[in-house]
Amino acid sequence: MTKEVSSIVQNIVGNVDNVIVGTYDVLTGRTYCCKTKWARIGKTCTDSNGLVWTITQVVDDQYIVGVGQSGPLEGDIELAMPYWLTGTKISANREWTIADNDLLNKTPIVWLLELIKYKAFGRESTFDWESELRLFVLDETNVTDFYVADHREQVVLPMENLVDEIIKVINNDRKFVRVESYDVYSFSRFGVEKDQGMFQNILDANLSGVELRIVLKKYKENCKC
Amino acid sequence: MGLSNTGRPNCVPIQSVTSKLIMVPLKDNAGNDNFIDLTSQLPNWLDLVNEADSSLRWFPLPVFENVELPKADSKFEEANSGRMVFLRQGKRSFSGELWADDSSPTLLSKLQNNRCVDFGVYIIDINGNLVGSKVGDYLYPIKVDNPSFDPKLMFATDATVQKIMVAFDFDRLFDEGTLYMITATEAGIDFNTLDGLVDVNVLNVVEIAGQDITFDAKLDYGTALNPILFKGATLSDFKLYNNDTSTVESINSVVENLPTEGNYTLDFGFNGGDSYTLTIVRTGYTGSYTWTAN
Repeated sequence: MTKEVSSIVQNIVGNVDNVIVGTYDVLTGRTYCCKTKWARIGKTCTDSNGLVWTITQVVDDQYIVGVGQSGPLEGDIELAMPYWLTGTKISANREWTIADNDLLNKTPIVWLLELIKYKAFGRESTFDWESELRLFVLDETNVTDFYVADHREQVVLPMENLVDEIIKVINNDRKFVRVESYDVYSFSRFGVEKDQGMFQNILDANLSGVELRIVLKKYKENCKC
Repeated sequence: MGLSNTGRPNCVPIQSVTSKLIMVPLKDNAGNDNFIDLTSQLPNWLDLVNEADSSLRWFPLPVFENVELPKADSKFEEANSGRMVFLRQGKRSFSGELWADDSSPTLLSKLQNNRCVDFGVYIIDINGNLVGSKVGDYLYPIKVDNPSFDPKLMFATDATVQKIMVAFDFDRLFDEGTLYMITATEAGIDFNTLDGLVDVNVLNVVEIAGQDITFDAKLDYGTALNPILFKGATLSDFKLYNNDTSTVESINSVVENLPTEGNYTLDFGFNGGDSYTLTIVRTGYTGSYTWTAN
C-alpha cells in the first residue's frame, strides 16, 4: 500500500500542468501570461518549437522575459517538470545526488518524505485510503547573494505556485476527495534548523522552498477481477 | 412459481459516489427517444456534447459537491389489525451543489431554462463511469420529473463560497432495477472530463456591402461591463451558410483585429438581399448570427 500511495502521488506530480501561455509584447520584450507558475530567473523554458530559452525576468503572474533565441517567446511555453523523489532523508539525498550533475536537470524537486502513514477503509466505505503526506517542494537558491527577501521572492513564491498546481491536479481528479485546506511551511533555507539558523543542508545543495502537509483521501475504484 | 435467484458472480461493477450529471433531452426533434445503442459501436462521446442539433446534444453539468440521492419512504396501507399492504415506493430525489467557479448566476439562468424541456440524466460517478437505465438493448437517460427541477443560487458567507444548489425528483415510475453502467474503460473516456458547450454571442456587426463583416464575439459570462471575449478564433472556427441558396459558403478569411481581442473581420463577397447565418463551430462553443446582406 505504501508503494501504491507513493506511486499515486508521483502520478499526481507528473500530471502537473507545466505550460504557461504567453503573449509577446514587442515594445517591452516581455511575454505576458496569466500565470507564471514556477518560472524563475536563471531557469530555462521551452517554446512550442522546442527552442530552449533562459528566463531573465519574472514578475509573478504578470510576465516573463526570455533570452537565448531569436524571435518572440510566446504561445505554449513549457517549464521544467518537477523532479520526483521519495524516501527518507538519507535515501532521497543519495538518489538525488547521483541522479545528475546538472542542477537544472533535477530541479525543482518534489520530495515525498517517508515514512508514509495511511488509513485503509473497509467494505462499508466508498473510500480506499487516507494518508497524511509531507511533500517538500524545493528549488536551488543563492545563499551568498540572496537576502531573505530574495529567497522568498525568487524561490519560495514560485514553489508556492507549484504547490497550487499540485493541488489543482488533485482537485481536478474525482478519484480524490477535494482538498479544501492544507498546511504550507515555507523556508528561505532548507536545512536542519538550530538556534544559530539553518545549520546543515538536508539535501546536498542550497535549496529553498516550501513543505506541503496534506491529507490525501482516495475513493475506491472499479473492481478489476 | 419460485422466488428470484439470488446468487451473484464476483467483481460486479458498483456505482461509486455521484460526481456529475449529463442532461439529455428525452426525445429528439423527430420525436424519437434519445439513448445509447448497446448493440452497435459506442458513439463518439465528444461528438454528442458538440452535436449541432440541441435535441440530440448531451449537456454535461459541472462537478457536484455534497451529492445526496435520498429515497422517500414507501407508502403502505395499514389495517386496524396492523397488517401492512404495499402501495408504492417513495420517490428518489437528487440534490447537489456546484461550487465557486461553477456557481455563476449566468449558469443558473441557463439551468433554470431547462425546466421547460423533458429531459433525463446520465449519472457519472467519481470513477468516470456512466450510469443509465437499460431497457432492452438501449441505455436511456434516467427520466427526471422536470417540473421539480430547482436550481438555486446560494450567496457566499463568511464560512461558505457561492453555490448553485440543484435539486430535482426522478420520475416516480422509474425502476431502479434497470440501472446499468458503462465503465470509463469500456467507453474509452472518463465521463467526468466532458464539459458542456459555451454560448458565444455575435454582436456589433458592421457590414461593408459585398466585401466583409466586422463583429465582436463575446460569451455570456464575465462582468456587466466586460463580458469574457471569444478570443483566438480562426477561419476553421466559423461556418457561413446562405439561407436563400441553402449552401455552405467558402469564407475567404477571418482575422482577429488585434490588439482588439474578440473582434473579427470575416471576408466574403455577400450577395445583397441574401440571408446568411454565421455559426461558431469551434469545439466546446456554440453560437450563431443571422442577417440579411446589404
